[in-house]
Amino acid sequence: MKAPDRATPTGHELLVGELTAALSSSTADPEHGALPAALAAQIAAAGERLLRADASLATARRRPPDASWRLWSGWLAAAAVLGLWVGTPGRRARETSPPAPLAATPQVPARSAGALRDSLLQNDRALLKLAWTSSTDDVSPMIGGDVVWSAAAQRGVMRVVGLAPNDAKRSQYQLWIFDKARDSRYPVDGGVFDIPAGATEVVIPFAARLPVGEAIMFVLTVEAPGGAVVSGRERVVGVAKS
Amino acid sequence: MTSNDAHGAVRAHLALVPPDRARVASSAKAVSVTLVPVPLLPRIAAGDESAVRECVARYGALVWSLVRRWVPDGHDAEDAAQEIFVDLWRSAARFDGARATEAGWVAMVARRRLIDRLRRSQRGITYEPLPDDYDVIDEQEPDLDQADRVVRARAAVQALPAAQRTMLELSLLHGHTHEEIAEATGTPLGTVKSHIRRGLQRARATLLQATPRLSEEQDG
Repeated sequence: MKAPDRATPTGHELLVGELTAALSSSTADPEHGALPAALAAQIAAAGERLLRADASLATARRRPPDASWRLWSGWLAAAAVLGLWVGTPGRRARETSPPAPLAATPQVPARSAGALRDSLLQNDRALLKLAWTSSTDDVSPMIGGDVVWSAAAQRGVMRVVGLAPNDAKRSQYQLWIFDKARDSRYPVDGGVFDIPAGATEVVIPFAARLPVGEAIMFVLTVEAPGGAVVSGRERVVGVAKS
Repeated sequence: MTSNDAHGAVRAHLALVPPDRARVASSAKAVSVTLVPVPLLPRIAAGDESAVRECVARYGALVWSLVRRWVPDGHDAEDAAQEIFVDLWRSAARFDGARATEAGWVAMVARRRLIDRLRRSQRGITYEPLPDDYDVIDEQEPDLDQADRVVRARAAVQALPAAQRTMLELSLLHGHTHEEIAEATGTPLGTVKSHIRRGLQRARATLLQATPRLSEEQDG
């Protein structure tokens, strides 16, 4: 039996998708109706921004002929990050994972992540760069590094120094992006990641799950494996704010 | 074009593809045409911004109908819908029209996201079981075009026995777990699982039938 590749749906997933679409089209659903117009407009605008950002990244990519950077451009970046995400042993056991590049793991080659960081720094003049402040967490009392965020590309790279290694079966680190225009109770999820034993510094690329208009703060928390939809913020291990 | 399913006479769907892609089986009295829209995801993968709004317009209702069934809370539902479309944009380059219809792909992406959200909210999910030979399905599906797939998928769900269709609807459309379906319908859990498994196998068999390539409906 073939091992399912999360980036490429299995025949079973496609079958279920076809049947779901067919059932939906053949089942009257006056209760749920159409996508609300305002929401549809918001989704479309965000999608257009995403495509523009990818196009700008692709353009920027063509300037420096750095082979490693190609891994992180446009749609290829999605596939690459997803592949690493899926490749994490703890993830493989789960039936599904989202198809988008939602998080990175320390297995991301530092050179590639670093190349992305360098490229963002080089090509985005409006790039946001914020330093991590010391945390109030007992396990990781002092962290360093920074986070760079490109609003145009809707992605960023964080460099974290001094964060304690975690046991992914017990807990994972999660990144949160606070958008100025968004209710601070519901920051945007930046994804979960692990710190391997022995690592003193990690460089992690990330992308927002939802469009971020103006990022004003990034927060690292410790959550249950798989992350949280809404963080209880019991353990905040890092804050970077403007 | 007209729709007159109640009389079983003529059924047609609006053409959104060039005429040469339309597959028409006709006789003097019977015409059944299933035309599928030109896929938008390849355009999106190529960076065509104009395809984004078309895609939202075309599949917004499909996504929203799934989201509202799976996510009761309005705020969460809006977030879920946005996340699904972000996933869709980012997976657009992986869409393969030889393996799936675009609507099927959209539904697949939506289900992945909704399942992930449910898992994150700590709710246990029992997935529909895989057919025993699901892993060979890819090798069996080389000869279907988009129109055929749409026809077959609809035929597949229509042809299901009522119990199997009901169980699949509750599982696929509403996102209910097997246990929830058993409780809601008063059906033993094992029977629920059996209905879903057999429904999937039967539907898959219909999708893989070699002939006819088009459905035809006689009106006389």
